[in-house]
Amino acid sequence: MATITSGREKVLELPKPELKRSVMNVLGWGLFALILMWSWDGADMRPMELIRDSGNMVKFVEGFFPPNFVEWEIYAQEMLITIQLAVWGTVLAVICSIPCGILSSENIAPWWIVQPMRRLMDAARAINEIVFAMLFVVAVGLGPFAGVLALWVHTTGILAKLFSEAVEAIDPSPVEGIRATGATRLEEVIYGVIPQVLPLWISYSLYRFESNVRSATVLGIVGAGGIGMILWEVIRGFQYAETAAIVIIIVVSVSILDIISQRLRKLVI
Amino acid sequence: MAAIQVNRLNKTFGGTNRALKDINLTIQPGEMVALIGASGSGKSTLIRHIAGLIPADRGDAGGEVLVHGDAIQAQGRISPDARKVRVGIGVVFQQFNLVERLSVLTNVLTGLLGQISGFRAFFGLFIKSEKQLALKALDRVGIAHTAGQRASTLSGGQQQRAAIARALVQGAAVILADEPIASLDPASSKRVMDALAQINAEDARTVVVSLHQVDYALKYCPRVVALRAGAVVYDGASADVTPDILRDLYGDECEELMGLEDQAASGAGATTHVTADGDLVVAAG
Repeated sequence: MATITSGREKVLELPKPELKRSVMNVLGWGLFALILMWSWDGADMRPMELIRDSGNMVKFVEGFFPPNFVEWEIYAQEMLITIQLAVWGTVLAVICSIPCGILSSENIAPWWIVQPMRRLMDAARAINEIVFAMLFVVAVGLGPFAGVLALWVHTTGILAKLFSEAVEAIDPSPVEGIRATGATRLEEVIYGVIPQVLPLWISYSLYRFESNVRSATVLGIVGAGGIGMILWEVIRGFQYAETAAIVIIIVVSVSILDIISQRLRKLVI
Repeated sequence: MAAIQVNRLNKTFGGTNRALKDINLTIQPGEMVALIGASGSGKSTLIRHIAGLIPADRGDAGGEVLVHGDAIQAQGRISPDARKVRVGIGVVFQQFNLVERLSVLTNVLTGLLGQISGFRAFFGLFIKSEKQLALKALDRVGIAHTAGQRASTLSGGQQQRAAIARALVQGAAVILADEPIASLDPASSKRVMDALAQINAEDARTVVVSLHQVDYALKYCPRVVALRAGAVVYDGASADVTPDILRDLYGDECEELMGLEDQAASGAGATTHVTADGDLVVAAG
């Protein structure tokens, strides 16, 4: 315990800022500023126009009000189809992600299976579902089925990665316990690995379902079914009141599904 | 035919760390053998080699491990038939190695995985008689009432007994227990050791158990194999274990062991008495 006896307080020295760190700080922020400036032209940034044309903007926004719900039954019907195609796209992806995820896990499969499988999943993930949707529209024709296929392929890429990360984080000792009984590799996975990762897998799958409903609302723009198809039509027809109605229906349904899915995810973890 | 035959087994970790040095060991069917030695002396490593869970050094240095005459590994390679040999070996681990999210009953039933068809295993189709068998095994170790619970809800001692039940259901003639009581309290430790001794006495199954606690080793196991720095330094009757041997194993500066030494030093009579007591426990169990 230090006691002050002399009446003179001891002056504690603050640690000197490290030169290297401050230089790094300045360089880091400088670099960030450079990147912003470099991107300015390419991104065609014209902030002044927002202010100059604010009158037009107000007029544009006014066009959305009041929303026109006259054809709400068609919108609701299309929203339902959107959800249904997200359901199938997600379920098929979950089914495929189980083997693909396990085969991309370093602690389960040998490297000569893991590496090609991972690259394949990388590719499925790297290509946006809209791109897949355009390709599948060509292959199987216009309509929700093309959307299902697009979500299926893209989501498999994402879920397989998430699933394999869960598998790589498991506790290996129960698996060893199963192995010691003379079980096969497949039985080790079924009894030792899957029970450990199941809660996470379910949670990831529900989360992807939420995202897929959101993605499915735009798939229609390229003709792959769902509410995006009519949304695109009304926007192109400058029917902003109808656009507002559709957007409201999308926001409400997506929010409801998000809430339900969040509750379910809390249940399983 | 010997239950376990280990010939010239060597294991080197990371190129320099010789974990097992030229181990030769023969264990006859129905024996109950304790593996003792300080931490890092190679007890667990030896058990995992016998179970074929890790391969020994490549080439002749790897030696071989035979269980009931079948090679589980030879010259540093796990035998292609290891899976079949493992069916005859039940392993009980220090950390129980149960699948915590599965029920106790399902954990015990996994002991049958080496014996049922892949199709039934895939869909978890265990028949009634198999479930009865699992329940009986749980009853034998005194925890049948926990069958429906998740394994994670059991205490350490109960989990370890569930692991023993799994080995029983497996029908393994050899049970390898790797420090089964190292993380248990004394009362649970006694129950687990009683269960192992009972299985050894009643079913004549071979039991090899590695132990930190020398008193348990001397009490329950008629034969002791002691390891130091990866080599067998004593292999004989537990009645003949002397304080000198223990000092040699654990070093005499180790304070906790002084009590043990006193116990062992109190005369060979005490040790024989302990062995007799061990038999009594087995009979009573």
